[in-house]
Amino acid sequence: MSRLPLVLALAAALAALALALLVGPGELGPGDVAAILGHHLGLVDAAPPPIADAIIWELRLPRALLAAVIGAALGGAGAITQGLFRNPLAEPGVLGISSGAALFAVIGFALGLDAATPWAAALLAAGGATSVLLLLLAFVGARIDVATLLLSGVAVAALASAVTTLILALASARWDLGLRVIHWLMGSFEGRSWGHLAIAAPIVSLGLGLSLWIRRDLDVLFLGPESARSLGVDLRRLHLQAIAAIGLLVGVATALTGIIGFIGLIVPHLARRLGGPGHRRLIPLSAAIGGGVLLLVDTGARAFTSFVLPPGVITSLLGAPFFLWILWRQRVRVDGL
Amino acid sequence: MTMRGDERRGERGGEHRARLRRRASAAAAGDVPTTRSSGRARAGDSLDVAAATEPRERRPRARLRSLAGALALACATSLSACARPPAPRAETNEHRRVASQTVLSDEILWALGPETQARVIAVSPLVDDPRYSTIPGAWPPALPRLAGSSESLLALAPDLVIIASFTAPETRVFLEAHHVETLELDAFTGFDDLWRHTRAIAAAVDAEAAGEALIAGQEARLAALRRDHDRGRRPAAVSWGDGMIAARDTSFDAIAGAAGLDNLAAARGLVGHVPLTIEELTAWDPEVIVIGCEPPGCEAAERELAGRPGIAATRAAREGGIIALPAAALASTGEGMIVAAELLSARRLALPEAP
Repeated sequence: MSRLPLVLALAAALAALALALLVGPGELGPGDVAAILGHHLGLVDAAPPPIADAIIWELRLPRALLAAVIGAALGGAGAITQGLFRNPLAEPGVLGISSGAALFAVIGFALGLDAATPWAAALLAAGGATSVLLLLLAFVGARIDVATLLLSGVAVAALASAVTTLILALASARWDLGLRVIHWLMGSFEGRSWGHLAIAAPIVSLGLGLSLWIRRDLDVLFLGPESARSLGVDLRRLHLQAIAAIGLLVGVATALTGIIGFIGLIVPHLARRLGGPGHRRLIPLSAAIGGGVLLLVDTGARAFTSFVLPPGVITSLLGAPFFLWILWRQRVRVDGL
Repeated sequence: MTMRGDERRGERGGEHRARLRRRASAAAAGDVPTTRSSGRARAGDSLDVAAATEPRERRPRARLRSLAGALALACATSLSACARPPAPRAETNEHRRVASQTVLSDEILWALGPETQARVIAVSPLVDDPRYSTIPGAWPPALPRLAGSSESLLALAPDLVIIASFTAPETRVFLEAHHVETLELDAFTGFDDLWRHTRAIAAAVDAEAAGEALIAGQEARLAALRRDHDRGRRPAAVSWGDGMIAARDTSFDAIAGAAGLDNLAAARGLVGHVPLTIEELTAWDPEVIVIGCEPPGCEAAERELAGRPGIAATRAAREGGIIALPAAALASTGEGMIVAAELLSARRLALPEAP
């Protein structure tokens, strides 16, 4: 019974993956897709037509797997962020962590560091996410209330956006840079391939592994910092470990696909309803649901629009009302007390 | 001499504007009693109390006074903006001081020859960017490169500013408000538009003959290309960059046609510049993919695209049909289009003929 939500979430994510492989140009049916996958797995001898093979094996499959991995990263990062700040409104995007990651990545683009190595943008974005988290923790201190936290996040996000705009303004003669940054800020999986997946998979695994490592301390922290300290939790170490995990997860997600907001807000709420508040189940469940949700969003963006709709736009369109709904529910609760 | 005359006229205009501003301020002060307004400003918190305790029938009058004050202020502002006496409009095409705000007009003005070049007092900043301009470094460095700064433009006292349909509306309104004549270039879809713009610019600077000579030379070059491709098969081509594809009514459509290629996007009924995913591009399987590049990196750009996942499987990648053209020519809406067509034609002739 306790593992059922996770099994169901993984099954749903796999179904979303299958759907993602079937949707798109080329008029390829389930049989074609199965034959191509079977050929690459050594189960089918006949070589598929080169164009169909390229569409499924080189484009659609790595894109779908990357969407699942990035969704898992953002879902997991949302669960840890909410646990760390003990607040259901805490989310990497809302707290300005994504904006910080984006700022550092844009600095990397402006300096041309991404041309030197494909890891540069990911590492810079991870650095940006970590810096914002450290700044937030230093600013809000031990007493974390909703208003201070959200306003700090808004201020940090505004600052990061302002510096990003400043960089673009200073480099206004470089139209290609501006175009690239704007496309990238909208969040997209277009053109991503096995190479991107090879970068994302180990970093996300490391981040989720670290998140699971601190799951018990995060559970205890839910009782409050004083209680956690009295129960033997080293808060400083916990904060650093959580920051490292969030930095890795959000950093790699932002660097490889741009800003995809609100997955880290919506998904942990769904996961908490299905599997309860304990981080042992919450983190893997958030990762599984996050992967499935982002896969569905990306597939929907490709299937139902005649133009290239960035998935980051869809998640924001869905996530912002969800955020307001949570805020409204919190207000109703406070007013009712 | 001309500059001195303009400066004097500018000074006279400044005095006139100042007088008008003073008159407008006086009119505004007359409509809204100064003492009352300053008293209100100093009243601070008591203001709300006074307003709240004011009899109801007096409130509409107070609102009317406020409205009149605001109207007077708006009139004064408008008057001061319009105060400059209208510049004497050219009866003929005697535009001696021409400011160009588009790369296309920079290129055409340069091509019209030394007499026209001498009339140019400003060009667009992109004219020196080899990614967008076919004449980088041609205009003297001392010539101002202006964009987005209406004040700097006005300070040069132009009598004609060449703008485009995409120029900021504020700039257009600003120039009109100061009675500066403008020539707007409004469509950029092929050779016919290029020649229309060339004729309009040439007429504005008294260089009709030079303009016609320019057009005749371009038509002759295109006629030579047509002779090369009259009877050949026309391979299906796309122009792809930054996730966008050029379909019908684009400069690439004209370039591809002149170079003996069929624009696949136009054949599929698409119009303008439209987004296209790599997956869709791969599914289209074009014979030729044209991309922009920055020399000398064009061969490297072709190799990079040919090895990209998905693209590598297309006929274009397999049969040497990935063609990188200098971005300034491919993105040009001027003579660069003909350069692009010639380069593309040469590469198309080198392609293996399909069975």
